[in-house]
Amino acid sequence: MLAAGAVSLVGALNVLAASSAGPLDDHDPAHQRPGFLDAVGPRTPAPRIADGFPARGKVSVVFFVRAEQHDPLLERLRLDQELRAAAALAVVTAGPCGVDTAALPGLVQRCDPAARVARGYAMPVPRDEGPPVGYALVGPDGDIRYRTLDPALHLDDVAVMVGAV
Amino acid sequence: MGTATGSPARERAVVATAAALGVEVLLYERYGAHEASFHWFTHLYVGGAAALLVLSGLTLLRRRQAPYPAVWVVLGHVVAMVPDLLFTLRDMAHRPWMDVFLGHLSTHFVPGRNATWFTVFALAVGAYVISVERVGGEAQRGPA
Repeated sequence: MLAAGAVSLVGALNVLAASSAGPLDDHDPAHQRPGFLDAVGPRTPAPRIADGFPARGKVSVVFFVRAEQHDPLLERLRLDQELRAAAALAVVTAGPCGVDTAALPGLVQRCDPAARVARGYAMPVPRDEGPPVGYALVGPDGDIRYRTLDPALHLDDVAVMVGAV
Repeated sequence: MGTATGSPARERAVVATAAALGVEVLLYERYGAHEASFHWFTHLYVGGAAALLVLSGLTLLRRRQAPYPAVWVVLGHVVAMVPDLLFTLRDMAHRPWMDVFLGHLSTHFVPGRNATWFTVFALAVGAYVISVERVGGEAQRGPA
C-alpha cells in the first residue's frame, strides 16, 4: 500500500511538472538542453550570418532571442568576458529590431523578422509556435554541432558546451 | 516498503527512508533550479527501477528482504545522474560513453519518454513488493 502510494505520488508530481512547461520550451523536453554535441543527427553547415561569421577556426555561438530578451542578454554577455573570449558571438533577434552595433564590440547582431536565420539553423519551434529562444553552436569547421531552445539562456551551459566543441 | 521486525530495526528503517526522501527532495530542488526536472524524473525512474530489480533478485536469492529499499533507490538515482554532476561541478559536457551510467543519454529518447520509464519504475516496485511478500510467506509457512 505504501509502495503504491509512493509511486502514485511521484507520478502525480511528474504530471504536475510536465504541465508547467512554458510557452518558450521545446515540445519535446528530451531535446531541450540535452548537454551533448551532435544530438540532432548529422552535422550540417551553418548559414552565414554576417561577414566572417560563423568564424573559421573558432567556436561560434548564435543566440536566438525575441525583442524582450535582447537587452538583458547583451548585458549578461557584456559581463561574461570568459564566454566572449572563448567564442565568437552573434545575437539574432526575431521580428523587427534596431541594432546597436556599439553595444558590445565584436558582437554580431542581426534582425530576423521572417525567422529565416532561425530556420536556416533548423532551430526547434517552441510550444507557442513563435520564434525560438535558445542558441546554436558552430564548430571551427563551420558545422552546427548543437542547437537547443533555452528560454532562460543559461550562459553557464553555453560555456560548458563551447568547451566541448 | 520496509518490514523491519524489531523496534531498533524499524527505527533505522524509518530514519533511512526519511534520509532518502530528504536527499531526493534536495536533488529535485537542484534540478528544478536548473529547469531540468524532466531529467530528474528520468534518472529517478531508471536508477530506481534498476536498484529495485537488483533488490528483488537479492531478496529471492537470499530468502530474506534486503533492507532500506528507499536508500537503494536513491543510490540508483545518483548513479544514473553522475554525468549531470560532472556537467555542473566539473564543467564536463555529456559524451556518448556516459551511457554507462544507466543509459544517462539514451534513456531520455525512448518512445513515450518519461511515461515509459514511469511504467518501468512502477513495475519494478511491484516486482520488489512481490519478492518481499513471497519470501515473507515462505518464512511464515516455515521449512518444509
